Amino acid sequence: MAQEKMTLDELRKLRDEKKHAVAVRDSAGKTVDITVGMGTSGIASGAKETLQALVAELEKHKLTNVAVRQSGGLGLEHAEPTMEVRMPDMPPVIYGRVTPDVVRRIVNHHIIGRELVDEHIYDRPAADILYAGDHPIVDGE
Amino acid sequence: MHWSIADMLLDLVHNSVQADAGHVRIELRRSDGEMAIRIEDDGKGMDSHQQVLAIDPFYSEPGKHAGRRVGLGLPFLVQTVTTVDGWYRLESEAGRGTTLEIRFNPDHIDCPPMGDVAGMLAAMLTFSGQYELEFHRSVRASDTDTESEYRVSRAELLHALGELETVESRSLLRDFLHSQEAHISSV
Repeated sequence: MAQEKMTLDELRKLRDEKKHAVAVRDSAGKTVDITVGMGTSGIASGAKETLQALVAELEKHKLTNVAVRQSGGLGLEHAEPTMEVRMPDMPPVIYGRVTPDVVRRIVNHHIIGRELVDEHIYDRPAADILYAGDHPIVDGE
Repeated sequence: MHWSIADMLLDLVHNSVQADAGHVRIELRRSDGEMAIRIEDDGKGMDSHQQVLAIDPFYSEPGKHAGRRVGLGLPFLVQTVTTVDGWYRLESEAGRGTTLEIRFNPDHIDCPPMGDVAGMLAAMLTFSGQYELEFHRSVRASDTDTESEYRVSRAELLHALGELETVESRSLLRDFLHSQEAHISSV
C-alpha cells in the first residue's frame, strides 16, 4: 500500500509546534555557526553524509541555537569532508576528515564540552592567540 | 569520482547556484529501463567554446578558483552517462543559462547507484543565497502501469519553514523529503 506523503500544511504545523519550544530555549541568545564544505571534492568524500549526521546529532542533543550552512570547498581538498565551527568563547576552527563519527565527536566535545577535537583540526587551531588585533599573523610577518 | 548519480547532480546544482542562477529546475523521470534527467538554470551560461571546455575535466572556469586547472562536476556525469551507453545534450547560452538533459539505463551493469535522493534534495535546497529551485520526480511502474510523483519548490518550503538554516528547519525538511521518497518507493 502506498505511503502517505507529508503535505506542506502538515510541515507548517510541525514547524509552528517546534517554534514555541525553541523560543524558550533560545533565551541565552548565543549562537553556533557551522559551515560544511560541499564543493566537488567534499561531495565525493561524503560531505552529504557528514551534513546529515550533523543535523541528526544536533537534533539529538536538542541544540537549537545552531545555524548550519553549506559552502563550496573550504580550501582543504586533501582533508575533505571539511567543516568550520564558529561559536562564542571558542576559536574558529576548520575540521578535516569529518566522517559521521567525527561529527558526533565534534558536537559532543567542541560544541557541548567546549574542547577542541585536536587530531581533526586543519586550520586556525587557535585564532584567539594567533590573531593580533584584527590582523592575522602569518608566516613571514 | 562521485559514488552515486545523486552526488553528481548535487555537484551540478551547486555549480548552478554558484553561477548566480536565480531559478533552477530539475526533473527526474524513471520509467522501465530508463532514467531521464533534466537540469535547467538561468545562471551565467556558456558560449559554444566554453561548452566544449566544460566537459573537459582538465578545465575550470578562470576566476572561479584562482590557480585551479580542473573542473569535475559536469565531466563526471557526462563520462558516466556515456560509459553506460546513455545520451546527453548540453544547451547553453552565455548570459541566459544552461540546460542539461541526460538519459540512461539505470540497470546497466556499469551504472552507479542512484544514491540518496532525499539527502541530495535536502542539500540542493539549503545552499546559501537567494534562488528558487523546483524539483519534479516521477516513477512509472511498468507492471501496473501506474505513475507516482512529487514536486517540491524551495519558495514553498521557505514559506512553510521560515528559513532553511537552523537545525529544526533542516530536520523537518529531511522528514518531509523522506516522506515524499517513501511514497514514491512504496508505489
